[in-house]
Amino acid sequence: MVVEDESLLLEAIGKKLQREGYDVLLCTSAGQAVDYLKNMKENLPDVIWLDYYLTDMNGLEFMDLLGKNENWKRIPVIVVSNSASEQKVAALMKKGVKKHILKADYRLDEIVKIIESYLKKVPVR
Amino acid sequence: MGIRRLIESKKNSVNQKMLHYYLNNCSDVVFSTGVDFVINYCNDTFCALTGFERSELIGSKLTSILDGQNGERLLFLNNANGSETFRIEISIGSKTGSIKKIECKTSFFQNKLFIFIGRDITAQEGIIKEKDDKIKTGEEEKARSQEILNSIGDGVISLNDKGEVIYVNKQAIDILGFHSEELIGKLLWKKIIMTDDKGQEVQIENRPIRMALFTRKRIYESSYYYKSKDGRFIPVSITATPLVMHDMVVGGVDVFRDITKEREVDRMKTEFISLASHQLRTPLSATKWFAELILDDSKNLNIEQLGLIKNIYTSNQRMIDLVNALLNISRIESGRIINDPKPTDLRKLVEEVVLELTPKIKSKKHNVILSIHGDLPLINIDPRLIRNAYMNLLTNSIKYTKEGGEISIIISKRENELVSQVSDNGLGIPDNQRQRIFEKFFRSSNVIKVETDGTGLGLYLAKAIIESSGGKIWFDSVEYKGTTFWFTLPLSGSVAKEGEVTIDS
Repeated sequence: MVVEDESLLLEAIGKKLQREGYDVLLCTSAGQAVDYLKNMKENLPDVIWLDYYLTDMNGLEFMDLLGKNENWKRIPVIVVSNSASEQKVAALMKKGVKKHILKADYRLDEIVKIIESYLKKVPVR
Repeated sequence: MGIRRLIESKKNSVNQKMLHYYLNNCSDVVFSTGVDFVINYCNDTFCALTGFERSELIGSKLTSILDGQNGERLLFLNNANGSETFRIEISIGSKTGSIKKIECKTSFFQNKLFIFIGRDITAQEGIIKEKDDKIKTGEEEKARSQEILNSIGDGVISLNDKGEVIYVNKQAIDILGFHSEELIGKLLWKKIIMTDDKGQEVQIENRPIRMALFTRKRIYESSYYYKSKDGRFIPVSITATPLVMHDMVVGGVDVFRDITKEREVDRMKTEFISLASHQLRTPLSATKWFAELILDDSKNLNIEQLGLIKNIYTSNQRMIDLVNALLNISRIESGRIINDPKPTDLRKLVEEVVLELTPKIKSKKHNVILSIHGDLPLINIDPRLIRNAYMNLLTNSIKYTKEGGEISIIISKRENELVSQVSDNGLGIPDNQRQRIFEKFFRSSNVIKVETDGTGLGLYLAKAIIESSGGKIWFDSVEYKGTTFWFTLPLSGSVAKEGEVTIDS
């Protein structure tokens, strides 16, 4: 699942992940992502790619939402954002974010590799 | 009948001689006139004072030697009767032209004679005038200082050696809200509460003015708040200066400025940086990633198209680097960057930097030599900052050295510092541009020709980092032979600095 409010970025990410053979769920807002999660019930995403600044809420608030559901809580989240202060990253990590990445500093290739490394760690259900 | 005749009439008397002797040798001036004010006697002292010969004086009118209008003062003597005495002040124009002031006791003798006995007070007048002038200039000076103190934008509180307030200017009153009467005579550190940025009251011994009085040094402090009378906490920038006279502290001056607005501007700057970085990075990321997607699929492109897309990718990457460098500079310049020293193994840090740069090093077939002191102690520095400094120096060496060049990194230990040396046998720095090499956006003329890609910010940033870490940076270079940069880091470590942002985030 990719949550990113910039449609162009979302498109690039979606294309890349599809090429790599993933089933991708593209969401332009946190609200949309939460709706999807509610409807998915058991068949939850393996990993969430989360933009920090979203139109309807920020990454911290989204993490709080995930935290309220026992199943959602287990999904690894990687935050990919444009800026990050020390405090913000620390707060995100505290709420269970696996890794924080600065957008422009990474190629899609590199981000996909990071995602894969977390996919392997997901316990088999 | 003058005194002379009085004296002469009893010529033979010893007493008369004595009187004569006395009159001519006493320091008082003595002279007499008839009711018509014609001088009929004067002693030597009077002659000496006025500069006239006795023969010139006797028989002439007193008014003729008086200065200006003060002859009128004599007129009231006409109304004198009996043995009344008067105290009058007369000014005499001496023969040389100078004015002599005489304070006289005048008596009307036997209805015939005015006898004047007086003292020359010219000099005293001068002294009094000088004193008056001094007082006047002193007052003027005071009024001027007061006016200056009230016109400047800073609050000024002056204290005596005990710390009691003896003066408060208008701005101090405006900023703090206390009336000057409420502060004068009170201990500053008791009357005005000072807190730190966490709202804790600052201990008296840590108050800048206390420290200034105690250490006899000027203290600058801009992280504290003064509590105003109405309970607001006002961020202030303070300069506390001890007044030392004859090796004694006689008081101190507390000059402070309300920096609420500066803080506000600072906050806006932070916001702007964060906003700009966010806004700029979004389109930069989009370009980067779309170009990447096309390049992934490069089998569908012809060679020319592939080259063009690569150019887009590289230019975009350059823009990303520029944005990152600009952000770092704005962070360092705004003083908001965190310096968070941790015990760091410089060897490990340098090896990681080299590892990260290996693709670039390999592509240019450079030979990199690492020579690090065998027993390097851990050093307390902010690894992110120092890493950035190495990164900047090494990328320069890699970029500005022709293929197959030699780059060496040497870390040695001196008595109280570690010295890092980064050398290459590259393009070097032209002699006439050595001065400007650490300037922001400066790129030397020879490297611009060879390598268009570059921001001119790397060395500026490296210098800022090294200096804020307590070290020094310098270089030596011969054009077209190579360049060596050295920088030191104190073994005692960098001083921690709280801030809001880290480099590269």
